[in-house]
Amino acid sequence: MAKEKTDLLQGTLDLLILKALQLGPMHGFGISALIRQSSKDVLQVEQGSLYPALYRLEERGWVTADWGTSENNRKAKYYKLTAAGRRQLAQERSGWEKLSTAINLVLKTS
Amino acid sequence: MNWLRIAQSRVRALFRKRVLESQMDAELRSHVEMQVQENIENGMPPEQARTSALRQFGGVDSVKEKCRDGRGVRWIEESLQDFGYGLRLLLKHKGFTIVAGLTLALGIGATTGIFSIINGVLLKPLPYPGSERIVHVWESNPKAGFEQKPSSPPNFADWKKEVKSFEALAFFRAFAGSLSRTFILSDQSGAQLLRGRGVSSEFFRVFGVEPILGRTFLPEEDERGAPRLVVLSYSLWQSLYGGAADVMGKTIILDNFGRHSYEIIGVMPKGFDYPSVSLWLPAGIMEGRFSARFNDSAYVVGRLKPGVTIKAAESEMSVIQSRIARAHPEIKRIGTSVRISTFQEAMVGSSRPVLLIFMGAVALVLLIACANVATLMLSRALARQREIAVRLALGANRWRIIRQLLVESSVLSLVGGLLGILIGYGSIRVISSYHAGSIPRLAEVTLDLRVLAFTLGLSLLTGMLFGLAPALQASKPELTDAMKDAGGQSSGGVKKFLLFRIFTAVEVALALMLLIGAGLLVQSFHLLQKVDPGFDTSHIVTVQAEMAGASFRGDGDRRRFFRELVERVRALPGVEAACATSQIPDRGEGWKTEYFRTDRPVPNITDRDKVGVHPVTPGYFSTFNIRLLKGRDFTEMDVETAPAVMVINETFARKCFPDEDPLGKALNFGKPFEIIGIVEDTKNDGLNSQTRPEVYATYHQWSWPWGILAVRTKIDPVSIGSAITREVRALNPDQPLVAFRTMEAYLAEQLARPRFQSLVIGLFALAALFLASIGIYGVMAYSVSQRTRELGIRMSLGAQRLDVVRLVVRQGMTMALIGTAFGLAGAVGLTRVLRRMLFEISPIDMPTFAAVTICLGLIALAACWLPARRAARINPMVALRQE
Repeated sequence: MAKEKTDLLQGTLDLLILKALQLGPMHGFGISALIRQSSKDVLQVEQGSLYPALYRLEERGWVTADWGTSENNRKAKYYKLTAAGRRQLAQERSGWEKLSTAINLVLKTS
Repeated sequence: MNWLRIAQSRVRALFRKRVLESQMDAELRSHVEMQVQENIENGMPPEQARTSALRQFGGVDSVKEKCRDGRGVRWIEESLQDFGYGLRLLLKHKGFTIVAGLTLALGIGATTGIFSIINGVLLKPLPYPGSERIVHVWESNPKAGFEQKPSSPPNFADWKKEVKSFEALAFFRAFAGSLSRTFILSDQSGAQLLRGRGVSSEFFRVFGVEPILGRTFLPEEDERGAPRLVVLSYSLWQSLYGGAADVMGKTIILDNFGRHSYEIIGVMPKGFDYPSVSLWLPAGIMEGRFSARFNDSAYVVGRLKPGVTIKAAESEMSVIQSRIARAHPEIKRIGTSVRISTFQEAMVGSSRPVLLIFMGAVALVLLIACANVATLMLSRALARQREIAVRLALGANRWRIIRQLLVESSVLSLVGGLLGILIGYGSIRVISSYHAGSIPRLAEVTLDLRVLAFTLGLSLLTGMLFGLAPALQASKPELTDAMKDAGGQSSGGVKKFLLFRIFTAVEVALALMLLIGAGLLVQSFHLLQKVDPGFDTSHIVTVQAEMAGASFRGDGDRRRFFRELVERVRALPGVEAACATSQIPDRGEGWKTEYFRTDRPVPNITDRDKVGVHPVTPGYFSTFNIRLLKGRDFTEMDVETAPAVMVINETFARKCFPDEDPLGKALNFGKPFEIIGIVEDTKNDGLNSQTRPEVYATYHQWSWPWGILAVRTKIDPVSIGSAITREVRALNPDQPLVAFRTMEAYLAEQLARPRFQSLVIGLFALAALFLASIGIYGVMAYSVSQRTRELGIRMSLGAQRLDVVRLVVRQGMTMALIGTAFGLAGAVGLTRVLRRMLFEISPIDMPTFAAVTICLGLIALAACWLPARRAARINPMVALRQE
């Protein structure tokens, strides 16, 4: 799990993936592209972390996967958010907000 | 329910691996393609697009690994892999596998077998509900010379009326030492001999067992004149009626109280037929001296009330019994108190010492086996030290290696364990089939799963422990040393080798102890076999006849009956001799009676000596071929009205008339009996004891309530049995006969247990020897292989092959000698334990010790010889170049 370009906690990666999927079903390549673009190239998720994370999310039932055809007529595995996944996303999100607020507070104190 | 889903996906991951792998493969590949596409769209040339995409992707395989890790079943897959690898490794090193596997199997199998037997015979409670409350009740009168003896029906009746400690009290009838009777059941298919028992009505309640059909006996059927009813055992019911449900009221014809029909009134459930009793009759129809208080034929069993201790019941009943004794002072052999023992104890107690000794022996075998396995595993692990070091240096996970070694040892342990189960099961079967007679409950012993689990666990543990040690050691940082290891000269190797030698010496010591023990037992058995019982044992058939019923009103009737019977039987074709006696020569104490010499002053009655009196008919001594040393035998002239006469045995003659001629002297047993003859001693107290002093009287002049007919003939027992029965019937149609047996059978019984003991311990000792020699061989072979280089150097420096051989052999024999020394010391201590089981041989029998030691020494020599020869064949040039 080491060697990220930026150190992303596992839970945070889950959050990002879930959020990406909120916008609609996507394959792995698309998810990592989306995250990279949205974060203005700061967050570059390595495949070695992405796919294990995707499998893990599938195991937990937060996403489902299915084979489909991509834009270029290639076969690709698409991931979709489930209802439970949506709930999980909201939960993680609020967790993240709380965490970042807390960290900010600490950083503010001189 | 997250974990359920997770578990499901893990299981899926295990079993649909190939599908998942290909899917993952496809997915990652598609990702790469998409990246390539994007690169091309961004303007990269195609090849660069691909390489850049791949580079960015990271190593595809490493990504796959990470994904696989994420699936969470990695360790299972790897363990399965290790398992397969372990199996292949075992197959490759066949020698090691066979030896180690056999060793484990022997250790596990023997231990499991013996412990199962011990558990089944000694420890397991009897299969009756509340079996710890089932007890035997005995009359006791230490002053009269007995600690426990059966009671009599009238005494029992009194007990039943008054005693409060028991939920149920019952008895079963016995007859002169035989706890059941033989019945001849005749039906259309012929005759079969069955064992049956007369029981009182509460008998089945004592054991807490209800019949599966019909009923058992009622209290009124305990009395004389009870109707002829019978309760069948399950197996008899099956064999006669095939388990048909409508057998109530059917009759079977049994021959013992004459030929009678017995109505079936019940069937007992499966398994209630200890000890091989097939039918039960009401006590009331078993004739005999019902009202005689000295008739000790009632074996009383009872079920204590919950909470009543044995001691409490004993005191209560002793009070009752002492009152009875006081009310009947004329009966000498009446109990004055009561002793109670648990039923289980009475059944198996005598086997306890034997079985415990077996347990000790098997523990020794197990120790040897473990030592062997440990040595083998250690030596193999040492050989692999280099391999492990290299793997670690290449970056292998330490825990992965440890896990692999653990799995490999487990594979071996499992293989050995499975074989061990077979051996254990087989040994139980073999021992049961040969010796079910001498040890009770043996026939019902099965492989005990707990013991099996224990021994399997033990072997697993041993394997793991010794397979593990080098792995743990190897993962220390001195890798470079290990990798440069050029032949076991590293410090670890030398220390380990010392350990091997200690192990082997220990094995030799243990094996020696076992072998000596076995040697002593085997010799003891042989000596016992050779004992001359003092009387003829071949071709003699005995029949017990209880004289009861209306035709035997007095002594006169009985005498007449036997005289006529003996005459008739003597006239039968094929009969060489016949007589009647009150007991067979090798057992029974006779009637212990006070006496005094008539030619000496009369002592007080309390000061008089006692001797057992054995009433016989004339012809007894010639039937049994007991030599008459002096004087004459009884004749039919020595009738009741003639002068009373007696024959004495040598021991009694020596005791009572040490320096004089006993002939013509007289002894007073209430009236004077003249001594007319002296016979040679017979072993009347068991083969392994001294002869008891004994005197014989003629049946005319000494009364006795029961008799045994003894017939010497070469005809087979069954034919002569029916001929005898015919004659008896002719004299008395209702005569009960029981127990047709041959003298050989009696003697074989006496030898059964010593034979069993020596056989089993002998087997253990052989196993120990086998294992120990393998141990020696293994260690020496290892040593030679490790020292190949050194030996090569020696030879190139001028050592002769013989020198090398001597070197190796000396090293091995030193080990063996040290082991032998300790073994001898241990044997001296240990064989004292065997003292009880030995006959005419001291536990420190020099010849046995010497023989065994020499034997072991020779085998140890042989075990060293083979590796030594291999050492001698070392080619120095090859050895020097060897890494």
